[in-house]
Amino acid sequence: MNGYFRRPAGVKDYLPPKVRKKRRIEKVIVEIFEKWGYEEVIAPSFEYLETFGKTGKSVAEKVFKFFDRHGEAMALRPDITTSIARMVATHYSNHREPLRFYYLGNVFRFQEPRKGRDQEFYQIGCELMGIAGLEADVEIILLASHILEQIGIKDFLINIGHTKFLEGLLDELDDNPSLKDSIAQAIKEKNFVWLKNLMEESNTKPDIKNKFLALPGFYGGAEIFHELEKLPSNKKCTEALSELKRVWNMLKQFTSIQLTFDPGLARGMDYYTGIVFEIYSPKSGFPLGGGGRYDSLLDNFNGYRPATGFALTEDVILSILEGDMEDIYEPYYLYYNPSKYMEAFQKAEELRRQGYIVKMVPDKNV
Amino acid sequence: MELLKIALSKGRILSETIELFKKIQMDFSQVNEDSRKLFFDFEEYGTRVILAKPSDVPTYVEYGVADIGVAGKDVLLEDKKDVFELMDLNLAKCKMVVAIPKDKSDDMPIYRVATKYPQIAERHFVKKGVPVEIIKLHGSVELGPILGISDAIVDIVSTGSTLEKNHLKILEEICPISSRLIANQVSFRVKSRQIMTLMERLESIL
Repeated sequence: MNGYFRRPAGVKDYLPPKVRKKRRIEKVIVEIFEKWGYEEVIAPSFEYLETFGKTGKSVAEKVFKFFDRHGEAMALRPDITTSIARMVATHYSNHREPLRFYYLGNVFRFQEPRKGRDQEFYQIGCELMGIAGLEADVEIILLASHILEQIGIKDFLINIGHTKFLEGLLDELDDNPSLKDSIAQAIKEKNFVWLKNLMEESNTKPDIKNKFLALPGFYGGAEIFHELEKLPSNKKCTEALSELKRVWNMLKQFTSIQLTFDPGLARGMDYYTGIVFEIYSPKSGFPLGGGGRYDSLLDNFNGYRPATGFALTEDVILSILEGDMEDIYEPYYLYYNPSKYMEAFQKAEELRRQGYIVKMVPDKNV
Repeated sequence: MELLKIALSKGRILSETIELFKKIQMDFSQVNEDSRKLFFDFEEYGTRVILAKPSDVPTYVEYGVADIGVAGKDVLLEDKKDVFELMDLNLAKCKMVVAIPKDKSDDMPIYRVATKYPQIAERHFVKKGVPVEIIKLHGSVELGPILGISDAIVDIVSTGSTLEKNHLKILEEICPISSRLIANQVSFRVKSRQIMTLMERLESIL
C-alpha cells in the first residue's frame, strides 16, 4: 500500500498540541519535585539484562531483550527505579545522607497492546533512598498527593497496603508452596472465585480458611483496621498493621487526601518490601500511578539502603486532564518574499526579541 | 451519587441474569435486546445497564466504561483481561470439553483441534504435553470432525444434545464454566460501597 507506513502496536505518536499539554503538566510536576529537594537523573534506555533480573520475575517476561555485538543480553528498561538503584550503587556507594531523585522517561514492556497497556509509556517518578523510618513513606505519599492536586486532579484516592501483611497471612497456611503461590496470586489478582476454590483444596484449619475467605471484604477506610486485627496474627502481620496505622495517623491530618486500605494490594514489581500504594481517580479505569518501599532492591547491588518511591503514569494523567486543557499556541506567521529573506529575517529577530513565536513562511506574492 | 454501570451479556444468558437481579429486588425487565437501546438507566437502583456482546463485556469493564459486568468464564479464560473476578453467579453453567467422534477410540491420537477458543485449547494441550494444530472457527465447531478438518473439538457443552446430534462424545473435561461478576480495578476501589452492597445481596440469594 502506497503512503501507508506501519507503526508497531502499543507505541504512540505525540503531535505538537498533545506534546504542549504533556510538557505543561511536566513543568508543574518538576517544579514541585525541585522544591521538595529532589534532583533529576537521566537513566540509560537500556542496560544489561542481568540488571533487570534483580527487578523480579513478574517483570522478567515483559522485558524487550536484544543482543549487543559481543552477544551479551541487553534489555530496554521496563522501569527506571532499577537503573537508579544501580546508579546509586555505582556513584553514591560512600554517600550516607538521604538521596532524593526524580525522573521523567519512557519505559518499555512487552505486553499485549491495548488501552492503558502500551508497550512504550511515560513515567514521572521519584526515589527517596536512605531513610528507613515511616516518615519517608509518608513523604512520598504526601508528595504524590501534592502533585496531583497541583496539576488539577482533585478527586483522587490513595489506596495503601503492606506487602508484609499478605506474607504474614500466607505463613499461616499449612499448604505446599505451589498452592500457597496460587493463593497469593489469587489475592493479588483479586480473583475471589479462584481464591474460594483454592481454599477448598487447602489443608489449613477451618477458622483460618474462613479468614482468608473474608479477605475480599477487607477494603475500606480506618474501620477495617478493627476487622484486620481479627485475622490470624503473627509477628509479620502485627508489625505490618502497626506500620499501616502509624502511616494513617500521620496522613489523616491532611484532610484533602482520601485514603483507603487494602491488605491484599499488590503492585507490578516484585521488589516491594513494606508500605505500597496505588492511586485512582473515578475519571480513569486505570491507576494513575503508585509506589512503595523497596528496601532490598539496593541489597542486590551494594548492600543495605532503605528506599521508597513512586511513579505516575503520564498517559493516564494526560487522558484525564487533556480534555479540559486549552491548547494555547499563537505563533506570528511572517510571510516573506524569498528575494528579501535577510530583511525578513531581521524582522523576525526583532519580533522574537519582543517575545513572539515567529514562523517564517516563504510567499512570492508578498 | 454516580450511577453504577453494569455491563450485561446479550444472548441466551440475558434472561437468566435479569431473573437473578429480580431476586434481589432489582427489576431490569425493560432491558431488552429487541428495543435496540444499548443503555438503560435505573435511577431508583442507582445503576445503568449496558448491553454488550458476551465477549465484549470484559473489555468494557477493563477500560472502566462499565464498573462491573456479568461475563462467562469461557470468555474470561479465552481473552485474559485485567479485571477482578468477584463472584461466581452460577448462571449459564456448562463445561469446556474436548470432544471426538463417537466411533473413535479414546486413545486415538489428536493432531488437529477445531475451536472457538484457541487460547483455552492451546493451554490445555500444552499442559498435557500434546502438540496439536489449533483451527479457529467462529461457530458450528462440530462440523470440524464431520467434514474432516479436525480430529477433535474444544467447545462448551451444557446438555450435550448438540454433541449427540453430531455423533460426538466427550473425551475429557477441561473445566467447569459459569457466569462471573467482574469489576474494573479502579471502580472496585472508587465505588466500593455500591459494589460491596450488591455483592452482599447477591451472596445472600446464591
